[in-house]
Amino acid sequence: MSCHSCFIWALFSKHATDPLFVSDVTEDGVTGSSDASGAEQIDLAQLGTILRERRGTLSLRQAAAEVGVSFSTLTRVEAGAQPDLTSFTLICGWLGVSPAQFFMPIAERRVTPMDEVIAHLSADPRLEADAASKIASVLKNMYDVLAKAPTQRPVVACHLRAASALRPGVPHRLNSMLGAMHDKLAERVAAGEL
Amino acid sequence: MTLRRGFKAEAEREAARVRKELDLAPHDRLDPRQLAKHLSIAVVDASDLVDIADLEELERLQAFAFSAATFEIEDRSIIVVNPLRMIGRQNSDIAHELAHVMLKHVLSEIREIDGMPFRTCKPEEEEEATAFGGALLLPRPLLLSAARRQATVDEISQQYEVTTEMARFRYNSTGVAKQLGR
Repeated sequence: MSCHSCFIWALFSKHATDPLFVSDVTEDGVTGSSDASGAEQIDLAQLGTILRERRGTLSLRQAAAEVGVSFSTLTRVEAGAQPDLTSFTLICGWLGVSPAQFFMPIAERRVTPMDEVIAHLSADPRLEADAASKIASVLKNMYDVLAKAPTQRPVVACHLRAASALRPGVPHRLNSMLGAMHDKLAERVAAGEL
Repeated sequence: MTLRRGFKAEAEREAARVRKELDLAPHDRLDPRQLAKHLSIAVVDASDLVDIADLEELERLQAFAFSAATFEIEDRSIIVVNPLRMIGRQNSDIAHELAHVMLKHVLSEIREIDGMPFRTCKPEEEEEATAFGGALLLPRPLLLSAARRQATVDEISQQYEVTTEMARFRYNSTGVAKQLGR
């Protein structure tokens, strides 16, 4: 009847303010997230590619019927969208692959602004090593005092009525928006406004 | 997937009971926001909580990406609805979320796989909420009275402020036309 599906959505404390946070969407449509604790990235582009290859000459409609998901969900997943967990599990089952294979360890680590500043200072020929280190130390202290601490958000759950598959870039934005909604609602409940 | 045996009849009975509590005749329009108030469930526009520009940006990235959500905060259920939707769609979304709450569906399937938050759903509960939400907005007696006066699907959707898809789905799935044709 509608293109909507309801999900239960879990929010986790992954934020751009964390210097080790790696954006969850890369240019090739890979969606995932990582942090300093060694969490992993999910390669949805790979899921789409394998799905397309395995489907071969089978039509999307036939394949969707075999998998047990809707035609639109399968189409979107092939294009790199993030399926809900039920669809993801069904697709992996049909492909005969372990869901774990789509989670890849992170090899990259983003350089923090402070690492970059220290590297520039150390490389400056006008500065003695000791002087560069002193400036770096002052800057580091100021940075530690003035930089905002990463927001630690507890896990939040909500029923979510949303599209059945989300395009690259959407899960991350929706995640942070739902987190903001939850925080604001909690404030209002605490203030007796709701 | 099919609904468990007897669910549709139960949904109609429960919808009739709720309408009675709200002093509505079987053929009256039900405002889901009024029902939410009756059940002490707050309904909040998402634009009251986040910048509307962010909602519009999400809509540009993917139309209909976000419609509604139910949060549970300090044992209270709060429904947040996307104000960018037409009123008919908002009514369906609110009714669907209310159905989840009234059917006592719990948030029990939060999953994390290797650090990745994942959306999960229970397909049977979704189907129940869709069926019950539809019965709340357009119960069978209401559709029967609309069919008697030969109202079209479009007229039903306008009069009762629901989407045409919802009006068509309910009109066809409840078999009222067939009943009158006998």
